Amino acid sequence: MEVFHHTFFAMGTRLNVVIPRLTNANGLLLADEIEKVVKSEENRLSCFMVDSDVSFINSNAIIKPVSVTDEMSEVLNLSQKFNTETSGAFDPALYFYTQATRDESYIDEQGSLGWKDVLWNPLEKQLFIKNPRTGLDYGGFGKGWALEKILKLLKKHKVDSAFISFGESSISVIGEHPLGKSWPLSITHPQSGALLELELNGQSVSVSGLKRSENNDNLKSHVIRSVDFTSIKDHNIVVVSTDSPMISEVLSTAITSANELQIKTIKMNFPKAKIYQCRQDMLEFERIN
Amino acid sequence: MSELSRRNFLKNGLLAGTVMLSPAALLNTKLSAQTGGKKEKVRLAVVGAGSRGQYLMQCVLALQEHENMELVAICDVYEPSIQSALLLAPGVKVFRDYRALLEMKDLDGIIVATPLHEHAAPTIDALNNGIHVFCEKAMALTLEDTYAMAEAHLRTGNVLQIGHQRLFDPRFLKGMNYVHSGEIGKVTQMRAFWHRHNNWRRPVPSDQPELERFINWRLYRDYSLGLMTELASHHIQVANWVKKALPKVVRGAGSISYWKDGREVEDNVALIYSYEDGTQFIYDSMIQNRKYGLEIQVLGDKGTLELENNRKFYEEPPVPPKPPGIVQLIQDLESNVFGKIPLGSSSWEPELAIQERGYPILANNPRPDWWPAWEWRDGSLEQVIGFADAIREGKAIPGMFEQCYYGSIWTILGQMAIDSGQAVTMPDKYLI
Repeated sequence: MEVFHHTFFAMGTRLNVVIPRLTNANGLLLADEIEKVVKSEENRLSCFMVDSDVSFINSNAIIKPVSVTDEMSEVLNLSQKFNTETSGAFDPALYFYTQATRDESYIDEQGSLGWKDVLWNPLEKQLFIKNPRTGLDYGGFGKGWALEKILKLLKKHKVDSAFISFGESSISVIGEHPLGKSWPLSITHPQSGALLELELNGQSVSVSGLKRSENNDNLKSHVIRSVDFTSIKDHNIVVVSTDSPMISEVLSTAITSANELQIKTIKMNFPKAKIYQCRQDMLEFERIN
Repeated sequence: MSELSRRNFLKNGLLAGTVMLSPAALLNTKLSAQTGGKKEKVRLAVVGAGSRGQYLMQCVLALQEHENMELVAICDVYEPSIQSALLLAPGVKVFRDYRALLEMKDLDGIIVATPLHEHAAPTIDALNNGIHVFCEKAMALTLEDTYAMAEAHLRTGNVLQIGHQRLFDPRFLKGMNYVHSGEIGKVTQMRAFWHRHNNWRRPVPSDQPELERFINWRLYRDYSLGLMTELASHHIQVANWVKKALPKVVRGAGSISYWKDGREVEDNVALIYSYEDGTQFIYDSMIQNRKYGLEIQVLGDKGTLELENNRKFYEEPPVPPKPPGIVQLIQDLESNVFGKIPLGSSSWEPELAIQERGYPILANNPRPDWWPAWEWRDGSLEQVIGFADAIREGKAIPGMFEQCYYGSIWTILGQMAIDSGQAVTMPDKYLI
């Protein structure tokens, strides 16, 4: 079978697109469009890029309210919505801890920061950050948001079967596997070896928790707990499957850092999501909803 | 070729970047280091058996079986150094005067690890006696001595190798391939630094205070140029290697800003070496803060190398490798196989960190089975192997001496820039 595949760096990781039964010539044209879409979203959301919308907000919104674009307004509306529906577990305003300092020694004196310090006016499309130690970081949102755009683009081009993996932690499929009804995915906990097998047909999966460091087998987390702003040190993996790559990523990030009350709220507000978790001492994944 | 035309050839060649060292030649040496084999025995002696001399003794001893070399003698004037050296190599002949050592029969080469101001005399005398020389960097304390050593080498044809081990370091060799193949683009700036936090002193016996200048020779201008000759010379050589050219001018400043203990050499220096094509090499060194350690950064318009740290960065990241799970999916689809798509485990490896932290210049730097555990493959052993191979062949690796010579010349010129506060250029008479 002819298979088009394309890999490129974006958002600090690699994006892999696999499209069965697509010629290389047509695939390359499509890949070019995908790269443009993803780079555009990266230029909007990356807190690592000095000219991004987010970097502009982080630099200026602590001084006075800043006006944002329609696209950024949509992102901020979603931020508000997901923060509410996860009871604060999804918090895209922890830049100070996730990127700026990674220093947990200030936690006591800075106990109230994060999205609660972001004053977002959706009618005026203006944003003000009232705590200078708060800033936006869409690390737990951006890949899912970009995948939404990619799926929209592929569907516009009548692609009816595709597998897209963003950093291997956010996966979306379109349609059926060309040789079967669904795409069979197996996820392994790198430490415990526990295995989760999923069948995807149009769904998106997000995996949060662990990643390996580059040069050794040390396992570490990059997720910050919104309750107390500490980094997650437990070797837990959370897998969320929904119809939306963005919701999958938001929920997997949120649940990784959530307390019991927040998880209860999430399960109530996202009844269709399939949520699995595996701690390092568990022999298999468990579905928690 | 007449002397005049030879000088012109080298001068023009250097400016055109054609006669500087080829990494490929050194890779052959590295290969030789890894394969070993039957080689003619090389008999070596160490002149200057202090700390560096003893380190080089250890290198020779580690290589003696695999590379068929023998440490036959040592020479020093300081009894404690002799005694500790003998612990490493019991039974070697001991000399207190290098001139007597040079009279030894069947001596193939000497390793000169004396204080800097004493590099020239044993080197020149050995070369004139038909003995090959490995001399620690920097070559000499003065321009005149440096040139005299080069003249003896070029006139006699005997090998004179200088201890710039980065020329043999597999990471630097690979890095130079990236630079010279154009992979990191046009290099217009290099930055290097070497920071330590110590007083750079060695203990002097309390009952022999008169040995202060003898033991702490690195701190006094009669014997050393301090941070310039003992540290900076390494990176100045590498910068010229990167550019395949020599600087046009150097400007610098320095001070004794912290260790005001009677020393005569700076503890804090900063220099800019400017090249003909507009490239700037910015160097600084200090010994009152070690946070940034040492590094040489090569900045091209397509990428950056951090050679000491073995890291490579791209301005625009290249196409990344596909993770194993994706590779398997593609292979299955192409073979019409309906298989599971594995995710996780080792396929998680790259992720965010790899882009932030760059890529290794040299991914693997394995030791051969026989390689000593204490040496981490930074070129120190390879340079001794290279020296022994050069002795066997009766000639040095092409272009390498020139590389080291001009590294030493521009090191001293850097000190002159610091001393004078003026922009300093190289007088034509030091061209070789």
